[in-house]
Amino acid sequence: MARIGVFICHCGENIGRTVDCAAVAQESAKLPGVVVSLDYKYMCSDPGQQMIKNAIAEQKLTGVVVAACSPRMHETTFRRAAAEAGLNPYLLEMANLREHCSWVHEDRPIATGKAVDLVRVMVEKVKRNRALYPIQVNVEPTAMVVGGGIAGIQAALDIAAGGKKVILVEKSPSIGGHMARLSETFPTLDCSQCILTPRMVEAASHPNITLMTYSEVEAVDGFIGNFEVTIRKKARYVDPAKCTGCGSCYTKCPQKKIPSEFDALLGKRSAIYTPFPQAVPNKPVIDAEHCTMLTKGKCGVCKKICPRDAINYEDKDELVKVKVGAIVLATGFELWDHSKYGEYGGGRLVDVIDGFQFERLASASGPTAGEIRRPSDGQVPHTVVFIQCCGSRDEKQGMAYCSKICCMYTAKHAMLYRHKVHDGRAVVFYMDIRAAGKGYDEFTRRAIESDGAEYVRGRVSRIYRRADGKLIVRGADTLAGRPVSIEADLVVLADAVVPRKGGEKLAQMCGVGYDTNGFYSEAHPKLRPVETAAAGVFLAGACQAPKDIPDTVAQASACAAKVLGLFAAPKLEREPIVARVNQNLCVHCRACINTCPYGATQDREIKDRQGNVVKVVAEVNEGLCQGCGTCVAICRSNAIDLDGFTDEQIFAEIATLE
Amino acid sequence: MVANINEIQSAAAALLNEGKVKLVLGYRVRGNDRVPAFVTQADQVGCLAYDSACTQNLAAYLRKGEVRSRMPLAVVARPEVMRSLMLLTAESQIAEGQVTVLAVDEQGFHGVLDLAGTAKLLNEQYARIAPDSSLMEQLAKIEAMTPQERSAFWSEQFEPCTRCYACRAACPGCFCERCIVEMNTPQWISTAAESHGNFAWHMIRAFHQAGRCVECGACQDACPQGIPLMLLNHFIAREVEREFDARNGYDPQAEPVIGSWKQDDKQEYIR
Amino acid sequence: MTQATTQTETKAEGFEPRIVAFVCNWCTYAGADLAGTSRLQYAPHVRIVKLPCTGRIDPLFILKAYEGGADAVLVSGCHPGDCHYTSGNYHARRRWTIFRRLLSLAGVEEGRLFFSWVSAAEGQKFADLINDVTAQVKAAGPFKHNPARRQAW
Repeated sequence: MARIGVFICHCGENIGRTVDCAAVAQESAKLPGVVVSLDYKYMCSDPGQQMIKNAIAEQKLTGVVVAACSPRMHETTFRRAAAEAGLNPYLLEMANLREHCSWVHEDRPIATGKAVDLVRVMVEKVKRNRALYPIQVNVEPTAMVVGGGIAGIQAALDIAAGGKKVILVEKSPSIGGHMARLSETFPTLDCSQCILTPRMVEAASHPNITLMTYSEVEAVDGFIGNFEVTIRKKARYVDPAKCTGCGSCYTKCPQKKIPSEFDALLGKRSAIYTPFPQAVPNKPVIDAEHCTMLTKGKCGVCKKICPRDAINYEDKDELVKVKVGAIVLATGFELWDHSKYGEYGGGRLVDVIDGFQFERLASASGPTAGEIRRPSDGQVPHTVVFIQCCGSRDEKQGMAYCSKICCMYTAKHAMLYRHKVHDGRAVVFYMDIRAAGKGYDEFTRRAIESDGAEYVRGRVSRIYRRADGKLIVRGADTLAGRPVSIEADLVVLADAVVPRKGGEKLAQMCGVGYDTNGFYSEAHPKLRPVETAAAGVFLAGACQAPKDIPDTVAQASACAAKVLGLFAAPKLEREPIVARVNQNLCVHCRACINTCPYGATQDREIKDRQGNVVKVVAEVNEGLCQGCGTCVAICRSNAIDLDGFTDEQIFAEIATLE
Repeated sequence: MVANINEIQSAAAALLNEGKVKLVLGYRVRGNDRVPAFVTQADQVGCLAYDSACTQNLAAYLRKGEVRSRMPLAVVARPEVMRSLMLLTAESQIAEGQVTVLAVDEQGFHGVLDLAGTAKLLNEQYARIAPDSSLMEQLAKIEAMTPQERSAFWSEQFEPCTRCYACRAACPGCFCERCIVEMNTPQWISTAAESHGNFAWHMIRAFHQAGRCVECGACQDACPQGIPLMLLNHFIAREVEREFDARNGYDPQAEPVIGSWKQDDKQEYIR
Repeated sequence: MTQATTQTETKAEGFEPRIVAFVCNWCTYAGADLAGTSRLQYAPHVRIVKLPCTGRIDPLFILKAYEGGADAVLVSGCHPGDCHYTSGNYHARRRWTIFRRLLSLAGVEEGRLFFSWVSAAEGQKFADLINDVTAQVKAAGPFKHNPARRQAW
């Protein structure tokens, strides 16, 4: 028999002013199953809680209804009190007399009548509650970080510093990402490699970090605390255990004309290569597409020259399975392809370059050793036009959003150019200057005021190449209200920041959402900016939205804090509001499996003693289920129910309202 | 009887002889009725018949243990039955290799197909099965009524329902182990044959067909009280197509219509 | 608003409608809380049944409410894109689209079933919604031709 206690809170005057709490308590006492019904000034106060605890003990209550404020306010408080008195906390429900009644109605009899209704409903519900226990999930205290740019490196270092193991997966042969390609960084103009490479080395040498370069995530199974990840280690054709990184192989490799990805195709590399001299690991790989030994079976120079016999032309991709408890996605960005802009030459003008190409031209380790020389003829350009918002803030042809970093790096480019070519002219076309950030506005002002960059507010309508090789840039100066035409030697486009191609696949594997642009979706745009809808999967850096280095590093450290928090206890406790399948009723139509936003409903084979599959049914993975109940409503057989919101509970609530 | 009935018979005999199937589910004549035939021996195929009176949807037998234990099997299937097989495939009740189709329509026999071949045939030959025009007319009439008239119309239609559930038994889509109407913890739908229980039953039966009903008509044929169930079924199929651009039983890999979504699904009624 | 609501009481003298609302925990329930903390006054006839998500709402709930004599049913949850569970409301929307059409065909009149998106920030919208729904149901009078209603024996 149910023995229910009802506790009516006056909340000082908040409820008591419009609801006759004593009358509600009296009416509640008459409800079937209610053995004690009390009202009190402040139920959430110590004496109030003590009143509930005493009643639980003395009256041997099987359920409690606290009629007070919103459960969003004090449900945890009262459930804790119930637990302290030995009653399972999930046998307590709250009736919302304050937010949903006393504060929104003025008529005392009407409000009192409604309050009685609210209590009645909850009494009938709580009679059907059952004891629930937090779900314990084992946590494998190893994290996987996908992407070895500054975001991934920072997240990995911080997790490792917290004493937990990290697997850092990078698809290219070296970690470092885009930051390794930058010349100097805004707003301080310190050399990017100088501040990054020590971190790269630290990541590679940290005992808690396992580097997996030239590797890609192939599959992700499991759930928070228990992910099973399959990683494809691409064939390197160089045994990293034997290789010392001496460099004889790539010096002797006869294939030297391959455009270097690292140098934004402005420099060349060999078929066996490291992307850049400071690569980590500093061990070459063979580009199977361009190596004549691998394509035609002719050459073999590197194998002959290698003093350590590290070259293996028979190398194959390898699939490695790892178990991790958390995943950080830090897959970064790429630049929008400006060849879509026919008016800017449609990608056919070699002296119209993107931001990364300019970075490489300006970099001391770049193809021109830091001298600004234009790609077509290697001449030093005397007039350079920089165009911001190329593909950004353009709903029609490009991306609707602001790419955030371009105002800053264009100012930096203009400065660097003026530092290197003193008599050169730097013209910047802009829509607005968005330089919010510490020291940022000062930086753009410096570009204009000290370094003489000419800022023109307006769009460029056309770029074409005149017969003498000059690039004619036509546009409008919207402040002066007149058309402008500039004879330029080089044009640098600040292409929009877009997510990595193919990033959707990884998101789908992990159960992470992404927006129409392909940026990964955080769990909440304000309050949960590093979490995702998939528990245990976090986001760092530009894979979520365009970000500069400081923001990226901050978010990466935030991810590390989230991961370390998750790993702090050996087991994870989860709210036991989860769906359950009655396997006797399930006919495996798979509607629920198709429906679940978290992939928590899964196929389950029922076997007999001999191990033969007798039937297949749906099963809910408690680790993944978030308790929305969508599967429950979709099931025609009513073979699924949701703890805390069972059909019996809801039926009783509706029936009570008759 | 269709002109080439002997072709069905010999195809069935061949399948049984070659051991490709253990059972052929077809129709035979009994007096004025057409009843299911369960043929397990090649020498029994002579009883197989097919004409336009063979309206029962034999796919409904695929949920029965006695039939399932004789898989792989073959089914004599007109286009609506083929669509049921597509639905059953999409809802993982049957799989390729378990069911072979002896495709028929009013013109006659069209060959032996696997499920993939059936999907192809359906989409090529029967992509548009025009709904019965009298059904559309009746529906238009009902839709033109006032709500009170509609309520009265349906209460009159549902009134004779004895809750025998013959409609459910005849429907291949009603393959639940235990029907929602038979659940009693809680009892959402009253089982008594009175107005509110009948109303709830017919609403939920029809709703559970949303995105699934292939409009074979077997439920209405089975109803001893002549309740116009096809009006509800057709209405829902029409709405599903209008709202979600989905037609039931054409794609063996289809996602369930109720159980999937699009961001731009219409919602003009939600304020 | 409340006064306006009481003035529209025309159809049946002293008719106090019974309205059952199925709402999700994260948006509409929180929106109702906000209406409370903002002290927005609204009509007292609606009784809320809280679910974690609109995705949990089975059409059976709506039928059950009508069967018990509710004069109207209100269903409300998170705006598209705001679902706490990412897509529960989208699933719910599909179900409602078909089920409400079916109920309409079966004779459930306009103004007996309401759907709304109310976010946790829309306390005012919640109060306005309740007032408006209540006013409409009051104006329509008791749900006499309710085909789902349990009949007295």
